[in-house]
Amino acid sequence: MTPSRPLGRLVLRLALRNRGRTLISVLGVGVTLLAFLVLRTLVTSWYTVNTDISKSDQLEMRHKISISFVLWRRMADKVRSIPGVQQVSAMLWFSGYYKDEKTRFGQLAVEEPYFEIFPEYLAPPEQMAAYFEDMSGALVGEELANKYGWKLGDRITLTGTIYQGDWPLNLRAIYRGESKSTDRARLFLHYKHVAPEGEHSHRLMVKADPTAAKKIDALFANTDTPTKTESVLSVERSWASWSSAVISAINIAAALILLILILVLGNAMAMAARESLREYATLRAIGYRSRHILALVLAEGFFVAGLGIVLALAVAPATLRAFAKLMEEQLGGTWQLYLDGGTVTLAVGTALLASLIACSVPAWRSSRLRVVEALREIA
Amino acid sequence: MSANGTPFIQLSGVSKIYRRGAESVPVLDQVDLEVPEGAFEAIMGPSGSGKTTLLNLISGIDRSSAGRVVVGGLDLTKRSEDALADWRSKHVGFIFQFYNLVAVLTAFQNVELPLLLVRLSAQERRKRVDTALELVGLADRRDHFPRQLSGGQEQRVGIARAIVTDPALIVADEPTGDLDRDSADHILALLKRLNQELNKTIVMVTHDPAAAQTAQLIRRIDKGKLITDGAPATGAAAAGTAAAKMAGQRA
Repeated sequence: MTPSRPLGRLVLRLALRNRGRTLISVLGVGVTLLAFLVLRTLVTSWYTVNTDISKSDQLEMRHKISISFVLWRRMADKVRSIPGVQQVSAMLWFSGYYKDEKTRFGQLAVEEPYFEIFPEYLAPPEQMAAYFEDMSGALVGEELANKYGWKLGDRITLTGTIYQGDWPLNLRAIYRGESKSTDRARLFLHYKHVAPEGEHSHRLMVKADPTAAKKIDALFANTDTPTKTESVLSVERSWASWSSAVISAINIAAALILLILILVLGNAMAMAARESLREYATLRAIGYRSRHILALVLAEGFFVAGLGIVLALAVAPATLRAFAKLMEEQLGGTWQLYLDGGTVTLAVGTALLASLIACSVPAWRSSRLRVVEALREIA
Repeated sequence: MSANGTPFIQLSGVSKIYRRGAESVPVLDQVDLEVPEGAFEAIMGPSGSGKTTLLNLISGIDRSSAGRVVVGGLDLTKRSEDALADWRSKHVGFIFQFYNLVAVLTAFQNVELPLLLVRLSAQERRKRVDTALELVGLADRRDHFPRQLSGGQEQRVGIARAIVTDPALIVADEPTGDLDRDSADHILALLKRLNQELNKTIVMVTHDPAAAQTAQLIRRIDKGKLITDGAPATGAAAAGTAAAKMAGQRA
């Protein structure tokens, strides 16, 4: 058995023999792993949003011919008569902006039953009561309130694009999410406030037994407003399916990043091993075994990789926040990118595996060197 | 000869052939050699004559193509790579022409390297390294890096590294080949002390006739054959305190 502390010191000294190269290698590993973390977080967030958002009794009715055709609010009364249907709410996309045209977030005009259909939007009862009583009232998610510094009682003026003009609203309630996947960046306002006549509805949201969907569509099959009713879950999944190509591209990019990590570290370790040929040959001559050299090279590689991993994990939260902000500015909406334990475990595990792959060839070659030839080469 | 009359180093019919693709290059041809325990022998010869190869076979870092190499009663030709590595760590000290110190380690850490293979307390390791550095006269340079030392001082660190495990055999490949005359003389005097005071068996390869004169016996090799047994050299160095300590540790 060899003393671990002096050998650790030897590994440290060898790793820092060329500080410039070591720094570049650490930065290379750190940056590539950071890119991997960002991409994996994007994918993870996407699947979280698109698989956990809904329960199976939440249905969405839309026009069968085109998603841009509207339904009629009066259809809700007929839907309520179908066995298994518990609640129905009209829903309009308000599609306004706050102060700046680029400042967009989800704005839905809904009826009171909407919150029975979607109980995941949780607000104190007294706030919900105040919201329901004020026709100009608004209910916003805590993330949105925090972002703009809104407090209860504040006046929020939206500028409509579908429903033209300025729309002053009173902030009456702030909701939190039932789970991490609940969108906490929405603003709800009253359907009656947006459409006092109550004629049309972009969607009708329904709480019902999933088997009711067919009955609903059958009811409107031979009318001028045929419908397509699906669970919210399947709508989201179809969206996820539609965007699977994007997700696949991100996954491929993540895999390529790992390949880059292997090449960066492998190249650095091959150079380090070449530079250390004299040391390894000398160590072998004075009695170090092949496995000692193997361990030295691997340890040096893992030391560099470890520093890169620490660097990536240290800057990842700030990078994700900056990335989310950038996406909000470019694409609108609110992006929630959190580094979760699973992603960190995957990234660290994959980076260590990549490091092992990257270092294995130089480590093996160094351990297998022929002492006599190596000594002759460096003489 | 050892106590039982057997030579400490015994080569019988040793040949070494290097292969470069289909071509065979004979380097040693049927070499027989006997070196008694406690001897200090020099091997001289022109470049490519096979002297370094002979040294490599004696020290167990290379294998013969034919014949037997027995050192300290151990047949090296029958040992595995790991067994040879273990044997070298305990019984052989290496001195290289270009010192082969690890540039990023201090003199102390370089000398400590062979001891990392031995189960010793940190205190015992420190004691042995300090003694070895004291023996070569570099106790005050223990925390210097190789780049902060002269060539002669680097070689003395190399010698300290070679003796820190108290090996029976020291092999030196052109130990003064990269040094000026004064530094070379200092190194040669040190080798002589190791031989005379600590009874180390030393086999030294050199081009330098003056260096060879330090040895008790000069052997000449040419075209892979040992052709001459030379006259013994003369002279001895005075004993020192550090050498006595080293001998005490060995006991």
